[in-house]
Amino acid sequence: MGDLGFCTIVDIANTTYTSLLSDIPADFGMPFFFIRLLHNKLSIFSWSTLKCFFQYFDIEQITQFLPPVLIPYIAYFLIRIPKKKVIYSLLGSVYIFFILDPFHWNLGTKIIIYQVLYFGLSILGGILFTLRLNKRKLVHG
Amino acid sequence: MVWRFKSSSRHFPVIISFVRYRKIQLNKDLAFPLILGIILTTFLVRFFALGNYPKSLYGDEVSIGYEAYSILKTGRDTFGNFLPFSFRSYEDFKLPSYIYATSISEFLFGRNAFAVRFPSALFGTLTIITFITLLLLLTRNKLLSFLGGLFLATSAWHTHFSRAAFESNMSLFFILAGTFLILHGLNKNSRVLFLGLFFYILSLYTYHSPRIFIPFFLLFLFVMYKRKFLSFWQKYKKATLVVGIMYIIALLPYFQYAFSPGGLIRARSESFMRDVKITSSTPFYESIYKAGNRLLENYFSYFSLEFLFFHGDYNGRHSVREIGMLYLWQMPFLLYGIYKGIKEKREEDLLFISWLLIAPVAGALASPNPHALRGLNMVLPLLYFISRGFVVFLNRYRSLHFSLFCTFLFVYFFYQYLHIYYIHYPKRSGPDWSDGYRETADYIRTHENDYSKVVITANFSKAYMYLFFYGNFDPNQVQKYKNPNESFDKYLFVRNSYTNTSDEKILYVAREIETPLGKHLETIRNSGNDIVFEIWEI
Repeated sequence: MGDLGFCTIVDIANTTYTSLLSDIPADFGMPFFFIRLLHNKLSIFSWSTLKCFFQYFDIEQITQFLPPVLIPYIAYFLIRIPKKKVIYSLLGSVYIFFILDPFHWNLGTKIIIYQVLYFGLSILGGILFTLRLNKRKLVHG
Repeated sequence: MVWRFKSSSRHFPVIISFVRYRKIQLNKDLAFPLILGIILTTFLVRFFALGNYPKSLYGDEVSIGYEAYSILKTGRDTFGNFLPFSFRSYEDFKLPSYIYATSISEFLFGRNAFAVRFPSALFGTLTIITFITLLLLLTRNKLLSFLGGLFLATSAWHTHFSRAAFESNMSLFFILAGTFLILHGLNKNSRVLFLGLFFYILSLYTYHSPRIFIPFFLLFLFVMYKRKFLSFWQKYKKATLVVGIMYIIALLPYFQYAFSPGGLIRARSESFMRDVKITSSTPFYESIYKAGNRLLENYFSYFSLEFLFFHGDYNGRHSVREIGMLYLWQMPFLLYGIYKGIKEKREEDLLFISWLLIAPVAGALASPNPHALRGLNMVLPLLYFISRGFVVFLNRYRSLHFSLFCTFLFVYFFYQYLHIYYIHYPKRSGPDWSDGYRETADYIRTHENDYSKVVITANFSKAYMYLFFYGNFDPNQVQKYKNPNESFDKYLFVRNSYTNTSDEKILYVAREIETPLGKHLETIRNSGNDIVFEIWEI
């Protein structure tokens, strides 16, 4: 969804519309209630929104722009960081900003911000890992 | 023995009897009805209209079906080899277990799509029962075990591969059963551990990915249960040596196959290195970097949210593609379950974390990725952590509303999956399942006596095998054909348009775009109403 995975509210709206157009005729012959139970704007819009949002956290998306060897450090940071809610809220906010796209940034700008964000997380993860490793060595001798 | 077990919800106190994992006691309690309900759900989901959904047998299924029939009737494969350890088939050298199991089901049910898929559905059902038993052994938590079984029974990932002839599904059962028996043997210091190792060997003879998974996983088990293994060795030294020698002898044909040209063909053709752009002039360090990069990308792709929760495998035969391999509502429970597992590091958490980390390695070494079939081993640890997270949430949010909300999500998403699988998927996945091939083979079989020759376009992939399976070809006769993929009897397979230069009447199965000189007889369409083949008399 979106250019190189950087989806916006426009992509969500388009996906909702095209999904409804293709899914409802596929259920031809079924009772109307059952068709609309699954194929309605609310469910498809919710689905598309969540898909777009989590795409920014997707490993395949990250490895498009960063070396995959940094993934374990990012994961370590996100698991071990003490103030998780703050970091997760910050990340979530940035991606909601990407999705709403108020300033209509071009793709290059978004890619740079995305790379800097995750590269930063990997560096922090590496530092955290090294500090904890040294702490263990000091404790256990 | 009856235990009063307080569920997480104060409004639903549940009385559950102590369930031994060897046999279920038929007491007046809810454990037996719960397990029966899960098994019934499993059975219905996996066996309902098994021969018709997916609509058609695809090429490998047809090959399995006819090889099994040939074994059943003659004891030989279609190339005349007596009870082989590998089946040459389409030069992909299939492993034997599933084919031999299919020969038994064809003996019972005849040569048809149901019989070809029956072993997969049966072992898929047995996997649920074994999974519940393993979770009971490890966690002693009945709620978590039953939930794990229920989630596996209704899992889109596992259900999809239980409803077609996929060897990976059968090998998953053998790995699971082997793990259970090994852990049980270690706990009780019992010789049933040898049976567990035997199941591991069976998995090697069933599918390719266990050859990577089993060694790493066994190594982990040795490290984790070092003391128990040593204690077992102390008690059963002689038996271990004898059984060890027997198992090495049992593995010799496997090693012979794995390192034979035929066995290596498969490995080479699917290797991830074919996607790495390395030439003879590429510097060594750059080659290592590119290959390593690619391998890591492949490995991490199995943990992609897009793959797990939104789109699934892009191969039309491996997922319905409108939803992920897991249900979206399971995401928070999965993440929380993994987080709790890493934090608390219980024995079962470490076991399933290692299982989850090792499972994608086999798929990462191949291409394409992520591959739902090669990564099928991941489904069990993922569902364990989902159950774990779910139970923790239930304990934390002890309210009727939360329980009802979760039940609604469970039912809604399961209904969505069944709707997609039975209504949308047949119409959209026709080409992936060779929809229309059976009808074409049936038409040929019905009308071929009116013609001196039958010419078939090479677009009808593996046509000869469909003709064997749906026709009345004696395996003894088939074994004598040298190159049936080119021609046999009055059948000829052509790559380009065919023109009849003789006086004889020919039945011609052509591509949609062809318009040969002759009489148009029939148009074969798939479930999506797309034209598959045009049949002409020329």
